[in-house]
Amino acid sequence: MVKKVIKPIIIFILFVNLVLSQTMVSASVDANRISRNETIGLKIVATNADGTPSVDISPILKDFKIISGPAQQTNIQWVNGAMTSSRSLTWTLLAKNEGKINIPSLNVTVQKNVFRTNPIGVIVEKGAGRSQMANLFIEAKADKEQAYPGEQITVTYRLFSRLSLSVEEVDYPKSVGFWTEDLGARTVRFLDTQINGVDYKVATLYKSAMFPTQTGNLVIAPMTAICNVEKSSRKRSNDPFNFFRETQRQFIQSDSINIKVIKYPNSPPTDFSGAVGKFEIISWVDTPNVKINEAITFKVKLKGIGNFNQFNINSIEFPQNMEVFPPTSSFKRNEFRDDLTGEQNYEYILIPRISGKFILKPITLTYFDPTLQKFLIARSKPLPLMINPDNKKEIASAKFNREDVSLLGDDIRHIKTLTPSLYNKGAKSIPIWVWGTYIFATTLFIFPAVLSKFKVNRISTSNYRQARGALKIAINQLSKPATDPFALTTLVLYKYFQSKLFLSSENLDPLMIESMLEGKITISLLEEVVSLAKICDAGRFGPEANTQIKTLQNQAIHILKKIDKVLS
Amino acid sequence: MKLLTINLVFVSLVTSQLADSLFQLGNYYYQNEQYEMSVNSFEQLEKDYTHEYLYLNLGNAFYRMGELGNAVWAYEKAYSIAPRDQDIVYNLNFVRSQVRDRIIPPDNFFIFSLYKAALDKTTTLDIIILCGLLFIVISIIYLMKSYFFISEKINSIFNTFLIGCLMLLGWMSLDKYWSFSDTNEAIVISTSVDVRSAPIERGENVVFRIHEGTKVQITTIESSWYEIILLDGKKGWVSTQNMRKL
Repeated sequence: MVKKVIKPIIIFILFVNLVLSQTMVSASVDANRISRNETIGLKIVATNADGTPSVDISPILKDFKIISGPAQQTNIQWVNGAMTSSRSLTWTLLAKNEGKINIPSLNVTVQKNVFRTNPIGVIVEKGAGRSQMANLFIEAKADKEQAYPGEQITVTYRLFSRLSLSVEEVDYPKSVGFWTEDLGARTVRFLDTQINGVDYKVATLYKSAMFPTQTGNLVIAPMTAICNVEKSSRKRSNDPFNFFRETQRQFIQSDSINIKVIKYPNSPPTDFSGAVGKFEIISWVDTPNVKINEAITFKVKLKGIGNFNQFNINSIEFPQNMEVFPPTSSFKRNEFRDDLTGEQNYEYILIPRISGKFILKPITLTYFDPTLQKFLIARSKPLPLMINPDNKKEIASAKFNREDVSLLGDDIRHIKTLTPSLYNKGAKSIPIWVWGTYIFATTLFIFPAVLSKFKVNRISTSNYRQARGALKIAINQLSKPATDPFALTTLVLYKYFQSKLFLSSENLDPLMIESMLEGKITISLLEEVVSLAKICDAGRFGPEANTQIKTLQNQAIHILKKIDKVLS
Repeated sequence: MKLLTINLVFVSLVTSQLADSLFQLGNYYYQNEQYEMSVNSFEQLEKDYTHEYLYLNLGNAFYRMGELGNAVWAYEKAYSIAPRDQDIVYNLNFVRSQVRDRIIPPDNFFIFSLYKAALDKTTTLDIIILCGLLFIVISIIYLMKSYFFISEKINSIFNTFLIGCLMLLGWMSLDKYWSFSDTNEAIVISTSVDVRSAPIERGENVVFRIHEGTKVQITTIESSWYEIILLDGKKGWVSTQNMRKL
């Protein structure tokens, strides 16, 4: 694993060393505009060359005369522990003719390797020559000349100098019709560069992202700077202690830049709030499953390239009965990009007041893409929320922003104006219904025992109750007309005696009745009963049956009444 | 006999109407900001009659007159009759908040505090009603058990719980009875009262001072002196003319 990581690092370091240690050759002149009688210095520098370069300068001899040279110079520099060496050859040349002269590519041989220099154009004229060449100027450069409102224009102000100087003061430009975002580079650091083959020192003074806020022809204001330039003294000072060079304050100003701000190709949508660039919206919640009245953190991230801080995301529709606190927002810019790139974060606190399933609708931003030259919509995903009920009472009217009711004063509550039912002191008694509860409870409590007792009693007295009601049942049955009065009378008679005398046997006959009733009723009554029983048993077949059939049932009722009276 | 009954009913009706009229008169005076007259009406009524609203209105009239001690007394009386009436509780707490003395009772174990709060919020009648309802529930469970509607186990669980509740309520009713019969409470009705170490009015025997509206417990009554004890245990003697018994 470690090897896998180390190996590419070593390869990268070796590659960087190889690149840095590669031999490079360049040619430059000390002026590209000279007069006819002025000399020009041609310098060929071989960087990271181990040996002295040899140059074939024969191609320039046609237009120039060598006054002196080549003068050799070797420079060795240590920067951050890395050594850089350069060897240079310098010639002083005098132009043979006037006009535009070209110093062609020259072959430079360094340790058998042949390099070619860049061609350099030189103007040789009659007049002022070298004095007309700008030694110090500010270049203002915009990355585009035409833009849409809100589209970024990156403007760079660079200071070019061939003199030793220090920047004293910079007046940063303030342009009308633009919203400006500083892209940094306010520290002046000089680097080497060439313009038309002439060596210059260059420093970026200021870099800004400018966003037009209106259409039409706008002007990016020029930048001014005050520099202290070291002045080269023509007279040699006789003072041996004069170590200080004389400086001169010099005021320089860049050119202004004209920018044409054109209208959008289509009319903007109604929800377009001025966003121009490329954007993306992401939204999420810290937890999608909460209880009522528990806070949810809802975060929205808007990222991309464009005129951040100049527009708002489209208004968010939150579910009803969800309390929403004002959001906090922050912008984080990507410092390493010239384009205004970064992310805008919004954080909302939501407090649901009712339970259920909710969906946080997608958040949208309508923006203009200058590359595609059309309006687009960035959209986040919908977020489902599950709000679980809580034991606490739900607050139904949470739609509106509420605040605590503040007490302005405090006082006792008012008197009772309705006349109550006053009662005499000590006369308040327990209401009757309260006693009723105790009585009802007692009744319920004793009910099973009473019921049980009643049932037992009924069972134990069933024979006596039967004996008591025997006459009544017999009379009832005998009172009804019968098809066979003899059979009915027999049945009723025996049934009566069975109940009255608690007999278990059902097979009775006149003799058995006689023996059972003997001594309990009078003899005459006994004879009547036995006689009746015999008639019922056998008389129906006798000659007098037809005469007795009519009176038999009444006779039986009469006898039974008498017997019942005696037995009771 | 019949005539006597009619007479009694008539007298009762007349006196009842008189009481109602006196109550209305007290309210009338109160609403016309004649608080002293209002207090007189309610006080006259209070001699024979009682009701939580009578004491509430009397307390209000006292409060409007600036008699904080008497207002606390009246609200305390109302509270003892209807401890769950929100208006009475509010007014009592309101006037208590204006009492100068801050007496912090010792902390009790939370179960005792809970019990005391429950006892405080219930009247004797509430406990009797609750006992009756519990008795009905126990009887129903017994009835169901007798006819095998519920198992023996459930029956025993229910019975244990309900009998426990019944015992608690029984204890609460006893507690109420004891508190009525044993405790004597009074409210300070003078602006400030010197509490003395003995029932003698001498300059050097003042042990502490209490102010209007403070509630005290009377432990001993001796001619025109009460021996009182505060909730935090401070004890001393005060003159009866500065106190109003609850």
